[in-house]
Amino acid sequence: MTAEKSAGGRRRKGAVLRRDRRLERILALVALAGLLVSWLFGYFQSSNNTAAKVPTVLPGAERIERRGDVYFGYTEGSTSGELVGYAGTGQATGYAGPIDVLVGVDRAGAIIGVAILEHRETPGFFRRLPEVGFFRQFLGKDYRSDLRLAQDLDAASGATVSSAAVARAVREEARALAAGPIGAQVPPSREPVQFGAPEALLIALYLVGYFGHRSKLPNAKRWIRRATLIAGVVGLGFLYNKPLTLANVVSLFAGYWPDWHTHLYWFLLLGGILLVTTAQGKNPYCSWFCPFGAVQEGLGRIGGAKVFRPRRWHQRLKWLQRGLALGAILLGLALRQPGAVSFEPFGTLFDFTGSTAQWILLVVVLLASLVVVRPFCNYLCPLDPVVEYVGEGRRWAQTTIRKVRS
Amino acid sequence: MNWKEILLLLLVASSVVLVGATVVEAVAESQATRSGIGGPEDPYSVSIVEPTATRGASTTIEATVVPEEPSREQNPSGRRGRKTPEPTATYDFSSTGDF
Repeated sequence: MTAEKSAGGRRRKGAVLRRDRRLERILALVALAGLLVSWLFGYFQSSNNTAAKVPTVLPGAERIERRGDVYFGYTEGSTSGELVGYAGTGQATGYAGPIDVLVGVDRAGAIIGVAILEHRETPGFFRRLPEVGFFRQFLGKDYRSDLRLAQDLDAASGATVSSAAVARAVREEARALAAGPIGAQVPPSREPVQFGAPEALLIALYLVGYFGHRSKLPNAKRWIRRATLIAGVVGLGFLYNKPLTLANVVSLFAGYWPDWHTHLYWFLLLGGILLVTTAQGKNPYCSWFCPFGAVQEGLGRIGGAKVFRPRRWHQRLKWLQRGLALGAILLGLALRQPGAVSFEPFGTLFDFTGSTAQWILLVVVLLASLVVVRPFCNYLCPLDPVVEYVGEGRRWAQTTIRKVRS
Repeated sequence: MNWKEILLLLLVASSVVLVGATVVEAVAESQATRSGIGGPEDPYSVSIVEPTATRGASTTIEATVVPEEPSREQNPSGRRGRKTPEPTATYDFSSTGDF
């Protein structure tokens, strides 16, 4: 009788599991369809009216003529007006996507105006550029200048990637105008591969995380993990402020793939997670060196936090987390604004920059970390469902391959 | 439901509200930046001197689109026959700063 009962219970449990699996797959397909729709919506929405903004970069021009991609500015309305200069649009990838700039040069190739046409950066960080007068530094420089940060220009603190992207876009467009209508000999543009301490640290953390995870010695594993978590907080957090964010993921989906020479870190970060998660089935980033996760874990140690997963709420809260992530990704794709939907308070903690809501969220999360283990990671972080999705894809692929072979 | 569960739900609910506020605020700022770009108070554009078109009150800028030189396929002789290009379109930009 007892055996029959337990067999019946197992059957019911199995049926519930199969139903849940089916539901998960249907929802995964719905999510994919939503991603496609918002991607297409964003693709057809993004546009800017460049011609209307040309006078802002060609001061003194009263008549603008467009020839191909170049705008010619003249002083007066008649055809005999004096040529003021030329303007054109340039583009370079920043932190969360391409930054479009309009550059105006005089007849000799000196920069007389710069305007941002569109950007996809996190607003709070990009706002720093005009605040510190970053754009003014271009004025008077010409196409021969390399416009490199720390040499020719001072970057806006905390927005170095955006500053570098604007500088690249302005330099390339100034040189294109010099080589085009001005007919000058321009120096060759070489973009060196940016490999520095952040990239080296990231590779080291991946390697230690990968091999540390496979270690058979629990004590050694624990100490190695503590070391990588501390390195994550200090290096990827406070020193370089380069944690993985939703902006990275949305820019990947939106197709804003940057030049690997200038954004090697981006490729290492996303490529590393995808590669190790696909190969090993475990996500090394979150558990081994995510700086925000490490801070929560450290606070948990201080406060004696416990793992708290109430059975009746855990799954519902996980679905809420997935819903939040999906909603943010859909909005980011539809508006083509990866930086704006990245709601994690990482920059608030590591760079002391954030909106009032982000500051309150940070305080709430840090306080909660004292009593619950990693509350943000478990119930709010939008990256967890993304990595989970990759892991699910791996499992699905493995099952399919096994079925085909048998 | 015990006090721990209530605390957890309160924490998640307040965080969700804050996340929503963060996203709404950032998107609104981003859209405002987008619409402000090119306007009279645009902090994202600089020039050597104040451009008359955006800062003035009465100037009208005329922009004409001149077609590109014909390609070799379109003009096999390669001769540039057009001295003064004819504009294909004319735009009037009033200087209200409402670009």
